[in-house]
Amino acid sequence: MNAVYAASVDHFRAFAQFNSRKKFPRYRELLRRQRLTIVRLARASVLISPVLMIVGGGHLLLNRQLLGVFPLAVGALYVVLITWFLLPSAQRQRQEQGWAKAPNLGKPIDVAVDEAGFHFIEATIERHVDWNAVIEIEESATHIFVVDRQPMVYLIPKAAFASQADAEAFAAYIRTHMAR
Amino acid sequence: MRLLPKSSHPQQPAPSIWMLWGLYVAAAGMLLTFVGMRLFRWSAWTYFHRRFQQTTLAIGEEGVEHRQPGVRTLFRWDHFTGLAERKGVYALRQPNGEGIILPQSLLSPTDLPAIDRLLKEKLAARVPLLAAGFEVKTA
Repeated sequence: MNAVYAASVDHFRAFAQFNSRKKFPRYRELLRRQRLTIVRLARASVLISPVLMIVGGGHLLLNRQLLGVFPLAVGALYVVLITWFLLPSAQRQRQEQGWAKAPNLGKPIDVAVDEAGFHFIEATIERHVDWNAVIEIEESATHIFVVDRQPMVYLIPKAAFASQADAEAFAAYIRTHMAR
Repeated sequence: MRLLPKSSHPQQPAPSIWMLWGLYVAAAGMLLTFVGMRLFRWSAWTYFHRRFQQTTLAIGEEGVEHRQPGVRTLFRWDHFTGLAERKGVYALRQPNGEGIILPQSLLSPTDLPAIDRLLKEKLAARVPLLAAGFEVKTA
């Protein structure tokens, strides 16, 4: 059973839209486990540091110490940069830029399933996933999303199949073979 | 002779410890930025080490095969846009700006020369063409 389609940014958008509805519990759980405590500490340090610089710099300036201008300016710059980085519109823009750079964009993808597993063949990358490493499948009105243990999400448009029934049969085949 | 006061302005008091409190706080903020950056770097290494424990890379004529339990990914040579070699690490560049990191310390000394030759033969030639700003496709 297989389907062939061209990789497109629209498929990434469909996934982002679907994922925003808090789907994929196992995928989320794997991502959460990979997030290290050190990263949380690093993020907290970087977020707290401009606050300290502004408070310290402000205190110096209030006491007429011109030296306070420097930490105040650096702290304010940090706040501007961090706010810009965390803005939802900026995050969306970075996401779109990342999608536009995806390897093999516009080139054909051959996705197939058989007794050995799930196969995702792009122009220059081949991925073969054993059934025990396929952990999740979700369906939207337009796409089938398959998640493996890495975790990596494979996007398959239903339009790539000859009919809706074929797409459903494909998804059902994955459901019966994947890890429980 | 008329004596003038030393200064017509009242003298500024010397900065007290309390006044300098702001300086300590600001310095702590700057130090925390540095600590945060170091922690990010450390976390990247920890993440890679954790990932590498479960990963096998096989380098051959077809390309680079990345194996993890249950998942096998073959990156063909024409997938990569170049090779970078820095501080004992090979970085196989991908078109989206990401790369596959291959620490030389993970390779056995007997395999290293052959792998080095293969990587340079397949990828190193692409670097100057891309560095010039043009991707030149050879026939």
